[in-house]
Amino acid sequence: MQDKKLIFKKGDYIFAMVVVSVVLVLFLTQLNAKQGNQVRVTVGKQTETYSLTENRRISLRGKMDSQEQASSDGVTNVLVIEDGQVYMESASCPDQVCVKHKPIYQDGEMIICLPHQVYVEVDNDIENDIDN
Amino acid sequence: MRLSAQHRKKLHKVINGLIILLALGVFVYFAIQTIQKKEMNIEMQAYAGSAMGTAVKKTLYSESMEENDAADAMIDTCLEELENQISARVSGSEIAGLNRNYAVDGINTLSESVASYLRQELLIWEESEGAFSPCIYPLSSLWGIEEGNTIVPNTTMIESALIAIDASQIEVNGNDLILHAPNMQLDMGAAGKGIACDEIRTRLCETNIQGAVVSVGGSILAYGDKGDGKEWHIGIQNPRGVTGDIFGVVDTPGNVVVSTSGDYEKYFESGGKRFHHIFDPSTGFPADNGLISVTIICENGLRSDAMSTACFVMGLEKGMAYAKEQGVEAIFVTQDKKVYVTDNMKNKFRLQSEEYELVR
Ligand SMILES: [Zn+2]
Repeated sequence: MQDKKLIFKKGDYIFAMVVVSVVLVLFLTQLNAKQGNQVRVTVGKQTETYSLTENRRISLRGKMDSQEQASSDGVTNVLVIEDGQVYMESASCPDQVCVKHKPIYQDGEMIICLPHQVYVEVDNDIENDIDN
Repeated sequence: MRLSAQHRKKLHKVINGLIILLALGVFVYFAIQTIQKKEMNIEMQAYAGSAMGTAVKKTLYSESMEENDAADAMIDTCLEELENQISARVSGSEIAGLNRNYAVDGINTLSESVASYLRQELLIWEESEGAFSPCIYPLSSLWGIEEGNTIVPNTTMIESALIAIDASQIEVNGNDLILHAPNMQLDMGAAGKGIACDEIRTRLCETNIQGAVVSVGGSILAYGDKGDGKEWHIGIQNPRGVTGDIFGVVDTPGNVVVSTSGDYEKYFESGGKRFHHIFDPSTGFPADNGLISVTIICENGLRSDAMSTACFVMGLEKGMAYAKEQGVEAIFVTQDKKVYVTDNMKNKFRLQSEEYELVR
């Protein structure tokens, strides 16, 4: 009888350990899961976050050049989120680099408007196979 | 039910064996989890910004977000310090001060690092037979393409600029610099993005950053790895595509700088001709040797940046010979969209656009 009791105790203990470890792993996986599917827009020092799944048009007021003609309300860049992709629809910057950038949607992709100091980044669970 | 002593012993043995087996299983299970957790715990964060008149993008990998954020700030400081030292466009910089105040044939004392950059740039000027110049500033500011000018300067002005960009008039002895002609203007910025990559790498080595990819304009630093020991995949800009459109990928370990120079970065068009920002120091005009893009991959960022410019000016044949002679890896793209690579690149470069043809 004594032996039997001891054996069951050990079995219970191991079973509990297995359950605890499984729960722990599941918890850690959950904890590490990415927030995901977001667009981070930084204008100057201010950062705003938008959902990548919600279509919208965002007017941005970036830094302006003295000789630059922005619309009267100070809008320098218009950013569009559409079908999970982000692109710069229009901008009053002289180089137009941001407007000429391809639409972005993969994790870590960016559109930068250098003259207006506007930075757009994608935080997504669509892995990017390119690292730069 | 009573078991015989023999049976009990046997059962005991079997159960003991099972317990050991189970314990072993749990141990292995936890060991695997710990290893995986270590990999899982590498945090990645991308940062956008600007410095040295160009876009800067950093992708950092380390064990914590705090470490990534700290490295991001450290890189910004590094770039700012460098710009304030070597940029001809920053009026308070060492180079700008020198350009303003030097006396012909007089001795100027350079800082240790600027003297070292200049010696390396002069070496590349010599190797490339003048295709790369460390003092092109009078010519590039005459054209003003980076400032948005869209008019071709007249020939007389170009000719007088040519006199001011003759690098044979530069003499460096240790940290002493002597300029033998008037109106010269040094411009470390010609290889400044590559220098920036070198400086960033030096500083990253002092941190716990596991891996990083930092783009400073056309120069990309690949550092360390993602914690998985695997190579980086560096996309190369399609010279005839929109910004961010890549035409091929280079697979490389984290110990190189990948610099690309092309006619697509800054240019204007006039009379159906493209006037871009990479000048041939021998003609004073934008280089016109049949290339639209050159990528140089090597450990030294300054060399990779300066040589991508030099090879672009030299053209396919001479440029390729130069790259091979220096033992650096290279990707040349010609106007007819043919891609030529060095031998080692043949299994490291993956063409991803059907517009282009890889010549083997
Ligand atoms: Zn822009």
